[in-house]
Amino acid sequence: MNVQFKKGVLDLCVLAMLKDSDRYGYELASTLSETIMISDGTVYPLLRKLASDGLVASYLQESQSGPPRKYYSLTAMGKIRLQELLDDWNAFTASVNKIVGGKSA
Amino acid sequence: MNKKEYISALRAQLRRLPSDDVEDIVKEFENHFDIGISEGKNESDIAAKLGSPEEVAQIYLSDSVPAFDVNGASNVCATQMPIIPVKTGMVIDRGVGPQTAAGFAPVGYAKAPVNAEPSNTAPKSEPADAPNAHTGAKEKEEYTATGPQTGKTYATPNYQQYPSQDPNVSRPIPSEHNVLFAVLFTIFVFVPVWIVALAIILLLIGLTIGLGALSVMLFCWLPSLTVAVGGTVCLALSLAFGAIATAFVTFFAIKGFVVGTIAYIRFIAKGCKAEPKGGNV
Repeated sequence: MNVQFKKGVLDLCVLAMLKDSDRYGYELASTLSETIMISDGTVYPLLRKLASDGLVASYLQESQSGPPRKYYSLTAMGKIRLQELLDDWNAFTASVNKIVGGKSA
Repeated sequence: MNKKEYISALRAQLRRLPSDDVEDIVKEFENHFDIGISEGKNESDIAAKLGSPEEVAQIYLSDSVPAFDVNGASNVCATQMPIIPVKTGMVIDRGVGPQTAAGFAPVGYAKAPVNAEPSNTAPKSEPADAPNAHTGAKEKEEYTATGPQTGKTYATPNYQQYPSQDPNVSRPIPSEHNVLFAVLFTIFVFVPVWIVALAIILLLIGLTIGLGALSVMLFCWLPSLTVAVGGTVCLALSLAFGAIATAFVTFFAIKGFVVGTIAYIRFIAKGCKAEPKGGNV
């Protein structure tokens, strides 16, 4: 998949993954790297940026197996941003589909 | 590349960032390695999946562009050249006028091709000095009425949004020194401590000299036994204070005053920045 494509939707993916439950960095990184083929390392700068924008918050939590984990959760602002991004995404894919899908639209 | 190598390479790449941020980032990556290791993965696989430290650091560095406001500008370290975001359509060169700014205009505003013959009524029916008169297209009616120069005005860049971009405002070069902190530190910490320490030393020296002088006077006078005893006591006290003062002065004057003052001056001169903890490789 195109690099620019991935960068554009990475925010959306991370916010969407945090919508239902808090997740830790490693989990986000490995899930995203498997599904959209990005390197694990790109997720951490993104999380940091989202945190500095106030869209996500983080806390440390001990784990039964292994080291303590830094969990990320969606803030109220993050939820609003997620909705905006989702709306944009849906509108965008719908209009692109109209063009590339041609006959189906 | 194992965990240690990866972390130190990442740390080296991030050295332009404030040390607190670097520690934070490094901790997150160490944690990533630790979790991976606890799941039975090996360090070099984890490192390979992370992407190169250079690549990762580059994302952090490009995200850390300082906020674009004048107040924030003073916090920017002079060694960190800010990357200046350019607003689309912004005229960067001051000498560039609105005519050349047409280059930024969307395709729809581009000048019509010469041989694209429009419906022949439109341009010719216009009075000679009307809309496109100032474009120099007066004689040859080469341009259609939709050309860039007709009625399309270009707003000057909105410097209110990006005040630090305004070329018409002269600003002092952002100083690295945190002046307010320096002043407060000087008034509330350095000066009071200095005065108190000096007062104690002067008091001790004063007592030494005063009591010594008194004892000498009493010995010279020597009218009675009581006075002689008083003189002896004064001399003893004088010597005691003298000893304390000497010890105090030797220890604290040299260490506290000289070293302290030098440290203070260096601290102020460096712009009130504490030495970063630990080196960067």
